[in-house]
Amino acid sequence: MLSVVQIFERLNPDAPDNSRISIVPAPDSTRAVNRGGTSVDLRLGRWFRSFRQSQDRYYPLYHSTEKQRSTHRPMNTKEHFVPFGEEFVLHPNRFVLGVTLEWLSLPADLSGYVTGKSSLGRHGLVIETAAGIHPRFSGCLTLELANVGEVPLVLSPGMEVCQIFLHETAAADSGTVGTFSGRRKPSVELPKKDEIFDRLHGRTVDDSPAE
Amino acid sequence: MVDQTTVSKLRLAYARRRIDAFLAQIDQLRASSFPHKDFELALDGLEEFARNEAANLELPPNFDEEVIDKACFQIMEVVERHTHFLGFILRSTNVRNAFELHDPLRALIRKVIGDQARVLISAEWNFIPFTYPRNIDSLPNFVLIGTPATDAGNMLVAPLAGHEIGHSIWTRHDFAEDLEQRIRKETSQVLEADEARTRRLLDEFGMNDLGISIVQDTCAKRALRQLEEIASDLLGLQIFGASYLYAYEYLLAPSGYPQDLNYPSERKRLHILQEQSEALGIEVDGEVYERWKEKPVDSRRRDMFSVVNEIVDACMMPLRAKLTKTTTELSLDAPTDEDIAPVLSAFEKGVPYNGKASLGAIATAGWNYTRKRSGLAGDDEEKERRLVNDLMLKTIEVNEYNSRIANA
Repeated sequence: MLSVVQIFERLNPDAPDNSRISIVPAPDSTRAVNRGGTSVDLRLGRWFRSFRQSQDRYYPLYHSTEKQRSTHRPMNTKEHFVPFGEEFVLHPNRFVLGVTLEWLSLPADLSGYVTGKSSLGRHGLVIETAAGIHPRFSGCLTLELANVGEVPLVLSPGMEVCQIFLHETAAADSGTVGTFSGRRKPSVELPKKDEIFDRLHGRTVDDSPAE
Repeated sequence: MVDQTTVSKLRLAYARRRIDAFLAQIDQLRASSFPHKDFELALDGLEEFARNEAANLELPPNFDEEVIDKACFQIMEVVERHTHFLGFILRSTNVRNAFELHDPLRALIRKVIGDQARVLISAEWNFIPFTYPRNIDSLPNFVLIGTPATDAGNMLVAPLAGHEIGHSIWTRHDFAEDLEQRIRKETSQVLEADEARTRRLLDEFGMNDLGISIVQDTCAKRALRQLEEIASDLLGLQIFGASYLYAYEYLLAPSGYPQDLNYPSERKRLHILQEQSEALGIEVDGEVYERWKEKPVDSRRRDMFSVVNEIVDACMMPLRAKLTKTTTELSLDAPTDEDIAPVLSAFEKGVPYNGKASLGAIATAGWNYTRKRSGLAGDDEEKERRLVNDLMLKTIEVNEYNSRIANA
């Protein structure tokens, strides 16, 4: 796992292209290095996505057929934009997607994970635990924010909300996970097509039941 | 016989109901989730304006019929003219809009027209380039920027806001007042220089020689309108650099609209923009100026078009001088290659730019990236297209963030 000092060495614009990390806007290096440790704090961005009540009886988290996949209707959500200096109130037992203010870009030899800040967690704000960040990831991190406490929690863009830990991968990743994948808003996507799951359900590529 | 007092009573009642319905709409809109305070302030302004207008209806039914009819007509006009703006404000809340643009655009507008300026950015369902009303009397400090609904979140069209800002600069910095005398002088000279044409114009107006002042006035007004459009184009170019021309091409090429006396022809606008970009050293891809179509001018209006055209040509020098003076005073500098290069370099690496960058530099970098990739219109380029847009808007947000921290 990278120390804060190592992370900031890789954030240096003079670092070699193939090992450079980008975090935009840049975190406060003095504060982070003085604090030490192995993580960098990230701030809350300005876009949120809440979930609307719906007439749908249920929402499938997988698709039984290709046809279902191609006619997939997105979950009924609403986007919100909150300017700097304004607030977003997350009520008890409510769930909302947020996003980091920072755009993060990792080289092929690094991966990591994001966790919530314990100081916020103790007040009831839970952020998806240990979400993985793959090598070559590029974009703002979508944050799953839930208020599991008893009182409404006031969130404000720009507040420190989570932290990332980074570590070297054993072999540099050669995939294309980060190619053009970056987003500035929180997004909701279904898991990608899973052929093993399809086979388990007795389906072939053309959706006809397996013999 | 119809009792006129009853008519007055009903007319006043209907006018009151209409203005009350308008005020009720404002109340309903207040429940919307506005991305910026300027929209709520616009509603406050419209409400105050409407309440003042409603006060004019406090007339007894037996009052002078003419006065009552006039008051009712005024209410009708107020409701009709302003309902459009309520729609504009409502559409401003839609998340299709690029909300990140609001603060930097407002900062830019405040720089050029004063600290009291406020901005409304919204999407238009019936968008027609450059014809959007720039402001309304009831909201004097508001600059309205309408974008086509289908491209509302597309940062690449944002440079056309430079044209609307140009109109505000024109008004705030007395361009019309400074040019008026010269326009009058040139109008007289142009009309005197070709007597046969002036005679045909008088005939077209159905007037004898005594009507020359009306012809002069009409031609001068049209020339002034065209000069305002040209100035707004040139100010848009000054603020947004090459991206202004690229956005112009994106929304308007290859044109082919009928010519309008309030606007210079498309080819003329492009030619003037080309001359100015060369004079300012703004690097622009030459393809932008190619293959613009124009419908021929209706033969009956050819004389008027040619007169206005000549007046405009004769006034270009004083217009350029006024523009240079104003842009120098306002420190409006077109983005340079040095401003654009680091932003483009960041975009090519798939990350937003962390340094200070003007809206013009950001938009031009986005356009340079897009043009290098032949417009990014392929089915398999949707992700990349969205990424470039997100990188531009994120860079704008990062600039706002860094600026707020630096100025705190």
